[in-house]
Order: sequence, then C-alpha cells, then structure tokens
Amino acid sequence: MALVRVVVNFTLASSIAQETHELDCRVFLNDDDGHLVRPTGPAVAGVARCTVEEWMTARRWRAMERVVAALEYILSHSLSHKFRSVPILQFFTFKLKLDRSAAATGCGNNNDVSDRMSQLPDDILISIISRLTLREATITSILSTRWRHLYTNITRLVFPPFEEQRSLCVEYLQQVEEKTFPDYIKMIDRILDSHNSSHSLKEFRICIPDFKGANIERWLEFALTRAVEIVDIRMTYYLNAEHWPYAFLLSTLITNKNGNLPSFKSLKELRLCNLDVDDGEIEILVSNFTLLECLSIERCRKLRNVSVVGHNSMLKLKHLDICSCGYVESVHVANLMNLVSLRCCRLRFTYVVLLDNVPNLVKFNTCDQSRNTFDLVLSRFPSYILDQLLHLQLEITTLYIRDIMAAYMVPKLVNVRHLELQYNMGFPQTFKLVPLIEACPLLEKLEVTFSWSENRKFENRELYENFYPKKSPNKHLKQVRFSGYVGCPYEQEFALYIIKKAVALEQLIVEPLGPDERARHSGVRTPVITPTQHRELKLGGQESRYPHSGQTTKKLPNA
Amino acid sequence: MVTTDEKGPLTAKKKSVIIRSCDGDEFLVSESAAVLSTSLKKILEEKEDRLIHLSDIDNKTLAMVIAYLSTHADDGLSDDLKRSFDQEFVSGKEFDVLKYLVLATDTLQVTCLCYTVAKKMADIMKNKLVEWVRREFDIQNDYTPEAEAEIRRLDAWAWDDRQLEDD
Repeated sequence: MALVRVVVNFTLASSIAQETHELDCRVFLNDDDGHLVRPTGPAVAGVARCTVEEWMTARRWRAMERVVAALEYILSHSLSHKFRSVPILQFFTFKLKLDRSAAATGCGNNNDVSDRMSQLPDDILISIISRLTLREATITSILSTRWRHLYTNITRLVFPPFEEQRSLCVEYLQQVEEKTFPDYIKMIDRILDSHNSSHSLKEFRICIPDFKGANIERWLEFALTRAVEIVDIRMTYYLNAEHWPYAFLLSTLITNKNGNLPSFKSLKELRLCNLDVDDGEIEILVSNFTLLECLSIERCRKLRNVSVVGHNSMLKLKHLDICSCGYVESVHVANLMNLVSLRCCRLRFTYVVLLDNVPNLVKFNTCDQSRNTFDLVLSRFPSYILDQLLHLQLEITTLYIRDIMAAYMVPKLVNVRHLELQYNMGFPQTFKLVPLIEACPLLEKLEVTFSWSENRKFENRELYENFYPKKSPNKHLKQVRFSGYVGCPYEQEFALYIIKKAVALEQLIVEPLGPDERARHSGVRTPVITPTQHRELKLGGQESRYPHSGQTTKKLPNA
Repeated sequence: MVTTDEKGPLTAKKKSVIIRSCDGDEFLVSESAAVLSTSLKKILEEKEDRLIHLSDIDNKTLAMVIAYLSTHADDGLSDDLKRSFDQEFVSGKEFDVLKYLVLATDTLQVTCLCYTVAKKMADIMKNKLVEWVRREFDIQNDYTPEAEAEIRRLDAWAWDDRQLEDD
C-alpha cells in the first residue's frame, strides 16, 4: 500500500484543563484513497510534544519541526511502535495535510495558521457573508463585536423565503398567517434602516404576498437609489382584494430624482411580478436604465401596447420577458442589437408580436392561446427573423385551439436546432406536432415534457396513422428527451415517430412521471411506471429500461 | 476568439511574465493569463519589466492562483469546463488555504476567483451553530451577556423559529 499522504492530527488532550499543558501531535497514515491506515496490533504514532503556549504563538513552527522529525521517524520505522490510546476530548482539532516530500523539507510558509477568520479585511468578510442567507448573515452579528455591523454592509439583500426555496415560495407564504405579516414588514424595514447606505448593493429580491403595509415604493426606491444590479420584486398573490391592482409609481420615482438615480448606471436585471407598470413606464425604464440586460414583467394589468424600441442609443437589452399580462395587445420590439431571447406568454388572446431589426434574436418562447396558436404567432414574423431563430420553447395546449382536428400550420424554421415543448394538451393529439418537427430540418435537440392528462388511455390508431406518414429522415437530430413520460399510446406513437425519423440519434433520455407528480393526481388510476421498478417498455422496437435513477440514457448506434 | 485572431495568437501566447513569490520562487506565466488579474494588468501597463515581485503571497498560494489564471486564459476550454474547474478548484480545500487564497485574490484583484472562494467559505459557514463558527474560526466572543441578549432581541426574526442546525 502506497503511503502518499500523511495527515497530521493535532489533538489537544483533555489535559489542557489540568497542569500538563501539552499538545499531543499524533501522526496517522492515510492510503491512496484517504482511508486511515489502522495500525495492526498496538503501534504508536510518534508523539511530539510541545507546550500550548508554543503552539498558540508564532513559535509553533518550531514545534512543527518536531512533528516532522517524528513523522520521518515513524515512516522509517513503519508502524511498529506502540500505540498509546488516550481518551481525548475533541476540544481542538487541526488537520494539516502534508505531502510526504513536503514533510521532509519542512512545511509551508504560512506563519500564522491559527489566526483565522477575523484577520481577513472587512471587504472580504462582507463578500463572504453576502453569500449566506439573509438570516444567517444577520446571525453573524452575534459572533463578536468585530462582526457586529458587518452584516449591514452585505451586497445581497434576498429576503426570506426567497432564497431557501424559490419554487416553494408561494406555498410557504400561503401557510403564513396574516397576523405575522406586520412582523415580516418590520423585519424588512429594520434591515433596510440598518443597511449601510455607502455600500453598493448587488442584488435586491423580495417575494411576498400583497398585504397592507407593504411599502413597495420605499423598497424600490431603496434599491434603485443604490447602485444595484439585480432587482426582483414579486407580489405572489392578493390577500386584500382592495389592494388590487397595486398602485405603482415607477415613473414618479424616476422623474423625482431628475435622472440622477445611481442605478441608471448599474441596473442589469429587473423583474417585476404583480406590480403594475404602464406602457409609458416601460419606455422610461428602457431609455433610462441603459445597462439593463434582462427585463421581465409578469402579471401586469396596465400594459396594453408594449414597445421596446432602441432609437439611436445602443441598448444592452438581451432578454425580454412579458408574461401573463392579460391586457397586452401588442409587443413591439425593434432596433435592439443585443436582444438574444424574447418571451411572450399568456397575453391578450389577440396579441401580436412585431419584430424588426433584432439581428441577434435566436431564442423565442411562447404558448398557445385562443385562436392565437404558436404557429400563427410565428407566421406573422418576418421571414428573416424566422431564419435566425435557433432555439424555440413552446407551450402547447388544446384548450383554446381553433379547430380540434386541424394540425398546426408551421412556417419553415430552417435554422432551429433546439426545440423545447411543454405538452399540455387536455386531449391527446401528439400528431399535431408532426408539422412542427417537419418544419425544423436542422433540429439537433428535442425536449418534450408531457403533462398530466385525464385522457392518457385515449387511442385512435387511424388518426395517428394518417398524421405520421413516412417523411424524410432527419440526420441532425442527436439528442431527444421525453419528460413526464408514462408510455400511454399517444406518447408511444410520438416517440416512435421521432425515433424512426432521427436516423442519427445518439442519446435518448426518458424521464418517467415523477412520484410527486403522481401524488398530486392521486386517486386516479394510471398506467404509471414507477422509477424504482425495473420494467421494460417497448419503445420503437427497442427495449428501454427504467433504472433506479428514474432516468434512462440509451446510446443508440449510428444508423 | 475574435480578439486572439486580431492580436495574432502566436505572438500573444509567446509573451510571458515572471512572477516571484515572497519565498523567492519564480513562476512563468503567459501574459494572457496574468492580465486576468487587474492589479497585474496595471503593473504590466506601467512598466516594461517582465518580473513582478509579490511580497505577500507565498509559493503554495501563488501556484494555485496561477493554475486558476492559466485555466481561465485558455481559449480552448469551454465555459462549462471552466465552471467545473472552479468547482473542483475550491472543493476539499482547508479553510486556511482558502483564507490565503482569498487574501491573494484580493491583492491581485482576480474578481471571479475571489467570488468563488468567498462562496466556498460561506458554504463552510452555512447551517452551522454560532458556537461552531466561533470555535472553528477562532473568533473570541467579546460581548457581555447583556449585549448579546440585546442583539438577539433586535434581530429577533433571525433567531425566532429556527435555530441554525449543527452539522
């Protein structure tokens, strides 16, 4: 067994409480894998002794030399010495990993190993505690007087429960009783009051229900009057009906400051949810925050015609997301040189997207809406925009579909490489997707997420046979992922169609419907395959297995 | 990628800098790696001399920083690879090693490494009892019991329902 590494384990024995004041330095030997090599029979690690004072002061390196000497001694005498076992209080353990060679030459030059955390300059400590949760950062004030006010300088203000579980946020808040809200508000106010104004702020996130006393104007002003980079304020639901819709005065905040808001030159990301911004305010926002890269507006009731047009100034905007704003009739995006991704979801049922001069737009995300299915939205795009799209994310639903039997009329998408489909059909009609797949000749990666449907058992062979004709094979499709897969007929048909079409398929990942998802639909008997069971499933004539991990990756040979 | 083409990749790669640690050992670093550090970049802009002496960074730490800089200056590596390198870079390192690393990155102004290390150090502190942190990081509690109680009262929300769990 090769001894490559030696761990020196200093243990201050319980005797510290008594007179001896000595430090036992024991040497343990580790093998390649880091396992402790247990000495067979009684064997001693050489014990180098030094006094506690020696250890605690700078002279400890002289003590270290003794340890190294002991170490060499042990290595040369193998493990033949007697091992003295002393019950030790693990009061203070300090491990130092030494290479065998390093041990021989003396070790390191860090002359003050035990002066630890507090020695670091404030800036670094602040940068460290900024990465803790707000709660943990606040608690550090108890450590010592040195730490008393450090937390008031933290650069990330992410109010709980935002950080802990973003997805559980809403559920968490619904459990919180209304009477605790004043305390919550008090907490936010206290933190904002105590926060050191001279320090810049990187991140400011609040996610709370809309309730009385929520002083959003103040919070927003607080964030924007510092050179903040990310602002994310979301009201999750309406507790008090009279507060709806929230009066939100972004433009007054901006105009009151006469264009001297520090965040004009710093804000990179702005996300607002359930806060009402109007069309004019969006324009003010975009023209004033010149460094803004990501703008996301969700559930806003005042927006009608969103217009984000870069005039002569070069806007940095990369991501634009307008989602769940039920009154938006048009989204006009033009002259944005840096725009990479655009998301328009759940707007007014007749909404239109007007695009012009967005040379870098490659990603588009939308969903089906009443008479405004994704193919219609896409077909209104100028053809040169369609040609530049590389990545499409679509949510597909029959809920509002024009003609239940009609397939999508998808325009040619000659450059789309990556397609993500969220398949939310109440009625199983995967054949409708065929024209979409056929419209993307260069598709390389396909991800389909099936969602729960009451009609999972539905089967109509004829329909499928009509819609899955033998089409040209796709030589580019390499990666396919099906999530929420149960294996019911229409999913199988679709999977079969894809597998037959993708002649150069390299990776097929099937993620069966998770247990959480099933629990949500408990009571309904479903042909669900549990991920923990090994079960074979016929898939395109090939056998697919669900391993314990709940995920199947199958390498297919190149055809 | 475009920038290296303009500079001419061959000449750009050949240029190198010698950095000397406080132990007197010298490290040869390509200039493209060195300029990732803001302060080294400044020094290089000011003087022609290709030898930089760093009086407060030791061998071990400097070697780590240089490994990091060279990896990040390598255009051949994808961003994903660099990210996983970052993860590996800080994992399994002792607290003191990280401490010297963060001090060195602060001196050299390597912002991205500074963030990575600070994050790792924060991860060490996460979910730990106050007593654990005090003991592990050698922090002397110099509060009187009254002062400590006062702080707990002021920030009661942080202590309220959930004490940080011991590991």
